[in-house]
Amino acid sequence: MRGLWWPVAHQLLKQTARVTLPRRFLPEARRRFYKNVTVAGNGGIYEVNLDLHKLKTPKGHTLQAGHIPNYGLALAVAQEWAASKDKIVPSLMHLTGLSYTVIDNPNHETKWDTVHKTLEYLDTDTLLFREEQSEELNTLQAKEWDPILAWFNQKFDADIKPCAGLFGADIPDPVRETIRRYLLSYDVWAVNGFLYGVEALKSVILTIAAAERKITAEKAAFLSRLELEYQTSHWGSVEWAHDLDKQEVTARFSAALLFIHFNTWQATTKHKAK
Amino acid sequence: MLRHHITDMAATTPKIQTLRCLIREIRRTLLPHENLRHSPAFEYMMKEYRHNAVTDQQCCRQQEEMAYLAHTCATYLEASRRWGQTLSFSHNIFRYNIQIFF
Repeated sequence: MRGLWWPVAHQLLKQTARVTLPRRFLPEARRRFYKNVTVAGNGGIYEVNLDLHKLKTPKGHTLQAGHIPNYGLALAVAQEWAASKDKIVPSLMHLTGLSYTVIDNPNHETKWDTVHKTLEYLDTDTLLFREEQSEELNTLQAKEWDPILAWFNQKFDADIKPCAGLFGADIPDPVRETIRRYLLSYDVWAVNGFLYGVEALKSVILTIAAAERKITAEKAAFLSRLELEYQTSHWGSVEWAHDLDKQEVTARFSAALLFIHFNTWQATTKHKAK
Repeated sequence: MLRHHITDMAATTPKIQTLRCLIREIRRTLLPHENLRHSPAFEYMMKEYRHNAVTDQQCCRQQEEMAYLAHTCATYLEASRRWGQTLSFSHNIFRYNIQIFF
């Protein structure tokens, strides 16, 4: 074997620097270090405090800097931190994670980019793929999914039909642009909620139907897992795996829906003159 | 037989049932020294319910929106709690099985 090639040898022989992992990559979950969780602020700018510490995003911004838009959302974020009894599990705090994503914007995405990412799921929407092999499953899919699809077509003046096979449904460009304009009418907070919901269910149609309050979060999660529910009803479910998946999908999607509604809900009250 | 629970629209679910479910979930998240009535989440929820309780409109959109939001919140809290419980339960079972094996 020839000796080391001298120009690179000094690099190969150089001692590597000691690598230390940041604390957040350690497998052990952080213990709860605070006693009370409170929300402070008014006039549309709220922050969450853990005892005397302000809750900060991974980039170091306080939630006040990012302007949590309403008190309900700030309370919901505080409730997530309050629900951690012993250990802090960030994967269970969906609303906190969504707020961090919007405030920090780690990928430097605009509202247009987020909507574009959401629309990419439309071609492979869950509701548009029907089973060919099993007639019973096909009938069940038609019974559960067709009403939602019909409502969606009526709302966006479209004629999207389900398909069988691998190539996906044909979505005309005018329909795609109508849905894009619909999503762009929401603010950047709600649009991130839409993307989170679509990623949980793999369905733009179900997410929009839930955002329009046509179906509940639980029903939307059930419809997205229709084939899985059908198969487990026939063959039995794997202990804890299917239950875990069902609860995870339901939790993620209901968090996304809450995030959308907190950021779009407006209420006015008029009192009668006495 | 396909076992599932099809949930109706939140607008037709009794609103008081949703409120009870929310109170139950919030109570579960409190520490032993905390009082439910002093919890900001509980106070906010009760304030919204009382605010939307009385309306002389036959179909009040704001009330239905609030009821839907409450139902979604209850679903989120319940699903998160069950997910955490199932995860820790399955971890304990696997750890127990490994101990028996070795």
